[in-house]
Amino acid sequence: MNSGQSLFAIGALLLLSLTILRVNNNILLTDSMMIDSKFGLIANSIATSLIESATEKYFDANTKEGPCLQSALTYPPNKESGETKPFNFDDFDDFNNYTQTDTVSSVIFYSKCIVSYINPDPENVGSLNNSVSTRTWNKKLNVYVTWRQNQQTIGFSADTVKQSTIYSYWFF
Amino acid sequence: MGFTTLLDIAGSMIIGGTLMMIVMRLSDASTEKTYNYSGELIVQQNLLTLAEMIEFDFRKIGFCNTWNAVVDPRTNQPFVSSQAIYYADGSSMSFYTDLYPYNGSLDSLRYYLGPTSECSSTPNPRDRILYRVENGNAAVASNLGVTDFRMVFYDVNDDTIPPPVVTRGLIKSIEINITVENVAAYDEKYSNAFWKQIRLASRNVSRSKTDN
Repeated sequence: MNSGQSLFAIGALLLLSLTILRVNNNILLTDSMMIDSKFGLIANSIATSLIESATEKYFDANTKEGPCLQSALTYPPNKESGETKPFNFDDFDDFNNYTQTDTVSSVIFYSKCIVSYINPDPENVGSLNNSVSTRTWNKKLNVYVTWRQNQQTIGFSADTVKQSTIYSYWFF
Repeated sequence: MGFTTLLDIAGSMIIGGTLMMIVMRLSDASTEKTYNYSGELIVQQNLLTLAEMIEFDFRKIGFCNTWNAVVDPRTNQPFVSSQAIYYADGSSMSFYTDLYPYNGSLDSLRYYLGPTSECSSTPNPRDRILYRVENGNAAVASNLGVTDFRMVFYDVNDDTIPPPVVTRGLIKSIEINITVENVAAYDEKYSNAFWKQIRLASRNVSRSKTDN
């Protein structure tokens, strides 16, 4: 085999190697996306569960026995003593700063809840996202779920699932 | 033809054969992955469809458009929404609700999981059919590859209620677990997707917690 043929052979091998590496890279990347997508489904179910759990509670600790003045609502939203888990929470804002971990299919999901008052303005859709530092008849729960980060970084990583709900108080 | 030439030919054949094997393996892996990814996508879409349908129906347990004018078909007494679930076990549940077109009359809805023998024509040995029955009519279903549909029931104190639950008004929230797999897969490597609704509390059922 002369040197020209050797060069062609080396070039062909190089092309083949690059193709194989590229294919492997694509396969691994797609695998990773598929797994993320699968875990995203579970994360969504956990977030929905937390929202379901929160919206079956009372609006506020002070509305358990009946209506109250707006000035009597709990501020800042927080849990009362002895309330540690959703099953012994009695009102919506007990979920503020609540964190939990769930292990599903050997994967650990970290969840964090934030409750805040909001003041919805029909002419300003953005008001639904702005928490206010006054008591109102509307509270918003943001649930963050992730499966990569530790609890301290929940909400800041790109793969965090975020779901929200607004809970308002009505009395007839 | 000298010995060196023969050695060259033999060497080329070995290297060529190895390269051919590599290329064929690459082609096989690509084909397998293509099938797996499509299967995975189908599984996730099927799971989402099921989860949406179940959540939509279960969230409306006990709902009726004319809630104060309805008579419970089982007791002939005024309908109490917290008693809408009249039978439940690990993989089936029957309850009253008001289905589309929400005409104010109470409809019965039943979900149950069929046996694996019904899907013996599919390569996956575990897939089953999840049935939805409206008002005792013919069951409606399609094979979406459900391999597990399991419910856990909780009472007002958040304690588990052992199935079957026949006492009405006991269930306040439900945990739903659904696993979906491909009905057929490349090389029998079935993809699966999992949905775990840790708590699904129908408004009409759980609200009774405050009434009792």
